[in-house]
Amino acid sequence: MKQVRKGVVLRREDLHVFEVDPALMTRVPQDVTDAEQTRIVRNRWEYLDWMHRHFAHNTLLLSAVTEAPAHGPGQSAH
Amino acid sequence: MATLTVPNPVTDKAIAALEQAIGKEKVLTDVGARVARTRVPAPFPVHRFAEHMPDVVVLPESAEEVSAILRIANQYRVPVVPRAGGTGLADGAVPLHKGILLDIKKMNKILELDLVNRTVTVQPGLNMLKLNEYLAPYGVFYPDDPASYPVSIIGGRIGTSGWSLIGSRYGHTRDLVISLQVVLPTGEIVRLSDGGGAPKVRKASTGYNLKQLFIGTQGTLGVVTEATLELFPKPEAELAAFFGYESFEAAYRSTGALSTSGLGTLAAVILFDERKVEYLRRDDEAYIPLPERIKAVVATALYGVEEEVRAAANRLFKIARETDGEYLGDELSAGDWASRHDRYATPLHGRLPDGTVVPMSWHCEDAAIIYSELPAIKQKWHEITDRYIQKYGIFDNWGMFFYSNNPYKGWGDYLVEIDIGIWEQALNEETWQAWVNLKREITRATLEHQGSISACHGACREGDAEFIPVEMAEGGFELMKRIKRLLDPNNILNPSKNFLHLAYADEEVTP
Amino acid sequence: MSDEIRAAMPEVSGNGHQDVREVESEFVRGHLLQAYGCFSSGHKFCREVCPVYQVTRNEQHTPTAFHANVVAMEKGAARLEEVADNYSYCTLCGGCELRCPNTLFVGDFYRNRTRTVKLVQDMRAAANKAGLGLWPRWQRWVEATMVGKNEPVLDYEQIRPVDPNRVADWAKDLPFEIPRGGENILFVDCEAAYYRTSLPKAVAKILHAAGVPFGLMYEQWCCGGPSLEMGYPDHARYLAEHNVADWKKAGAKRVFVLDPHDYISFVDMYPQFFPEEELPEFVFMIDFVAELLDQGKIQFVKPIEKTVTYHDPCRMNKRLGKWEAPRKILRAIPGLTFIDVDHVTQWAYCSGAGGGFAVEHPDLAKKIADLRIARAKELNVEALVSACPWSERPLTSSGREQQLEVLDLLEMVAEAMGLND
Ligand SMILES: Cc1cc2nc3c(=O)[nH]c(=O)nc-3n(C[C@H](O)[C@H](O)[C@H](O)COP(=O)(O)OP(=O)(O)OC[C@H]3O[C@@H](n4cnc5c(N)ncnc54)[C@H](O)[C@@H]3O)c2cc1C
Ligand code: SF4
Ligand code: SF4
Repeated sequence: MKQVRKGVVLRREDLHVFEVDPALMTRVPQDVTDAEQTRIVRNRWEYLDWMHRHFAHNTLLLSAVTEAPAHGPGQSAH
Repeated sequence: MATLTVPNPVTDKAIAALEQAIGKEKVLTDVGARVARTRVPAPFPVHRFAEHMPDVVVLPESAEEVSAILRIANQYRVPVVPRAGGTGLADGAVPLHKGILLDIKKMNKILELDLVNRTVTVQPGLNMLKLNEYLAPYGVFYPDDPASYPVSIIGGRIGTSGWSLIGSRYGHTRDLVISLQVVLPTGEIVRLSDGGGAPKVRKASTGYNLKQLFIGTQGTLGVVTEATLELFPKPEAELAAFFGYESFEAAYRSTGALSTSGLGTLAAVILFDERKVEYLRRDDEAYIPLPERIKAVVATALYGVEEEVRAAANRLFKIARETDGEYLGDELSAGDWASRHDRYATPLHGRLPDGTVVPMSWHCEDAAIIYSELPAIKQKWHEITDRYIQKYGIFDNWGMFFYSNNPYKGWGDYLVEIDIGIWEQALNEETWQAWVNLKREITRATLEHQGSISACHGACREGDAEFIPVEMAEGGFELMKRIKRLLDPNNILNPSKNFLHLAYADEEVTP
Repeated sequence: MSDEIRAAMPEVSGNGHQDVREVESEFVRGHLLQAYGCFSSGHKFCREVCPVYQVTRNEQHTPTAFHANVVAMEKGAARLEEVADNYSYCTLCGGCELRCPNTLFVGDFYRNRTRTVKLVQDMRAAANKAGLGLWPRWQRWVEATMVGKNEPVLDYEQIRPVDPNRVADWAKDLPFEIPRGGENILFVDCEAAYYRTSLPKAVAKILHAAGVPFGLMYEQWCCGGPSLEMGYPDHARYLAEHNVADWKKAGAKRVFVLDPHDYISFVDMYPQFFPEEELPEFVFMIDFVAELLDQGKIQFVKPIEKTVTYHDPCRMNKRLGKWEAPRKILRAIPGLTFIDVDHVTQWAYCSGAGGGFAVEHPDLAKKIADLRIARAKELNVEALVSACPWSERPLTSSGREQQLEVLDLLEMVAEAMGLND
């Protein structure tokens, strides 16, 4: 488990999903399994894609239309 | 003093009359039916739960049934509170005096699609996402897009005069409604359009512009039972671009430059302040990796024909770069934008002063404030909020957004939002009063900076409502009171909202 | 309960009644924090996906209300017996809890999510524990299940038990023998074993043709899931214990499951009753067929000239996130024109058959099925393909009224493999 910044950890490198530092979760149970976590992340991306399609026929990205870089500061392809 | 502190209870006789008028199965008195319609997502005095439970719930299916309900309410002098999606953030649909809760969700039919004249006529109980699913095969689109898009419904959008995320391109609710059918408090059914009575005409000078009068009234002047809406071609292309800045001031200047660019496809400009970015870095996947040097963010979105959007994107990027904006990448831009159509407010964002997570409810302040005043209001609101956090320990400051607020343009005034978490489980009368006082201080600051109390949610609850006479001191509130009394002589419809009990202050008018 | 049934009922704890106030305070204590997780949001993003709300348009049949009731009970504004019946208005499809931002947007970050399905099941159990007697048809259904050891699927009217000795009768006229026991066991769900017998036959033929050795249980009982869903967890456990013992006796390492409802019982409920190491591996047949197809172990040789769309079974799509394999199979069937409705849109679709809903609220369940068929009709297809036998009965009946054929995916696989000739 890697501390990413104050209050945030990276436990699952495979999924690259950030988590709240469990030390802060003393009042709320943490009972989502890894399989469920994977399911949630996948469904989220599917859902966001769905929303794009719902609002427009075509989703354009700034990096494809201008010389803007695809990745912003601190972000990398994963 | 308000005369409506002790309303008439809904008697068995009144209930029997309702059952006779609309059918037993559409009149609900069981506890479950009433609990389900007690609150909206705004902070709620949970320690006084039962006070806000309506006595009876009615589920009408037509204007005639709504009319019958209102006539019975007049006869028995009992309050009627219209409820649409129940997602309003200013308590418009919360019963203040119990009474009859008029739930319009069964009225969700699509009555007519007119592709030639580009209108769709609907009942008010329909949700926009569902409407757009229906419209998609025809290539048309109804662009009223609040962050509650998948759940709020058209009657409530009209009741609040809502703000749409893409309103700077397509207009907001009031610009998208062509005409209305309304049941007046006394039961008459009327049809009103923009300056006339023709249902599909968008602009006329024939009569008073009565349509606008019935938009944003929070159900205090009438119940909308039908609406004819504007259709646009479904956008060919969408492009969202988010930029980061090393100071709020830089982002603020950039916001000004972007929003006055004159780009016709520009649908939204949203400024995030330092506290918002800090908060997102705390628990939003996309923002967590942002380097600390990024202190503020500006989000923009373009919609339209593909060639237009491509050209506008180049101009947008140029302006952002020239005003010290750094592009935050495709993944953050597209992903965050897609989530804004149902911007998640999740209770686990709540943190106590020691950093531990607890479920908190969400207050979303939504003043309308002109561009020049934004930096000053930001400072004041944070100062107020932080003071209460320190003293009570059950609030949390989730930072501020400034959204372009005007139809068909990015400039002008901004919807200014501070998001505050409230630990409801810990509420008691003392902390609830503290919350209302916090709210009052925020409202006062708004008025000091020439702002309006609410851009879209409404000013119907404590902490807002008592300031309406202050904001509308130059005769506006007097006129509101006169209109209210003229249309609702017995003070039946959503009584006490918007401080309108004052309309009856000089005589005994009770429900 | 008829005397005949009463006499045949096994001793299962959980039939006794407890004081309702005690049950209420226990329930509130157990669910309050999660209830605030929803109550304090109150945004209702879950609402328009809910199949029951879609046909009642009544806000009290929503997850928001289910959670608000808990807070109302804590604040003395409601009593358990006043609100319990609302919780029967749910098919346990899981659409709401996935769509909820507390799951979809931050469930991974906090590793805490909305659990409406559990809340509803627990309330049903609490109401039964308090002996409120709200749902006579569920009670009868579970009692008949205890007697027939399988669900009383042949008699929705009277709810009379089935004959447990006939649970494998579907296999009688197959051209090959299926042994009892073994490492690979085919579990045939109650609806399929007694009612839609064409389905287990098709599955047996597929496995046989693929050269996968398999057997049946010595004595297969209901998975127990429906008893849990109707608020009888002890009965569910009683049934589950038998099945686990039967698998042990058989030496089962892998259980092939042809029904989504059984599958979710095995992967969701059984691990709550038994340690993981006592359980075999559960393989969902659709996944397995997709795998066999990938490995070239089965071939589609016979075209099916039809235009179809697909119904995502709720438990697969909404509760377990399985939506790809069935689409892959449909795209591989020669001759077939497949008009897909994506799985996210289908978070709002349901057949109405799940969670005991059709037993207690048959009229509303029919409305949900009618709506599902009407949505398929809009696509101008000839058939709606499902992968869940429970959905197929109501959908077939609504389909008959609206002139739309309803097909089963595994039966189509057998057909395309040429196994019906
Ligand atoms: C997560 C979230 C994000 C949000 N984002 C936005 C946003 O971006 N923009 C925005 O504008 N709002 C937003 N809101 C607030 C809310 O969604 C809007 O105010 C919406 O317009 C309310 O609609 P509703 O259907 O829920 O109405 P309700 O809350 O049920 O009612 C709102 C008001 O309208 C009245 N009313 C209801 N029906 C009728 C009728 N038929 N005739 C007359 N009056 C009626 C009610 O009495 C009440 O006063 C958000 C809310 C949430 C929870
Ligand atoms: S279940 Fe989720 S989406 Fe629905 S009201 Fe509760 S918190 Fe909101
Ligand atoms: S599980 Fe399905 S039926 Fe039950 S409340 Fe959720 S969406 Fe509705």
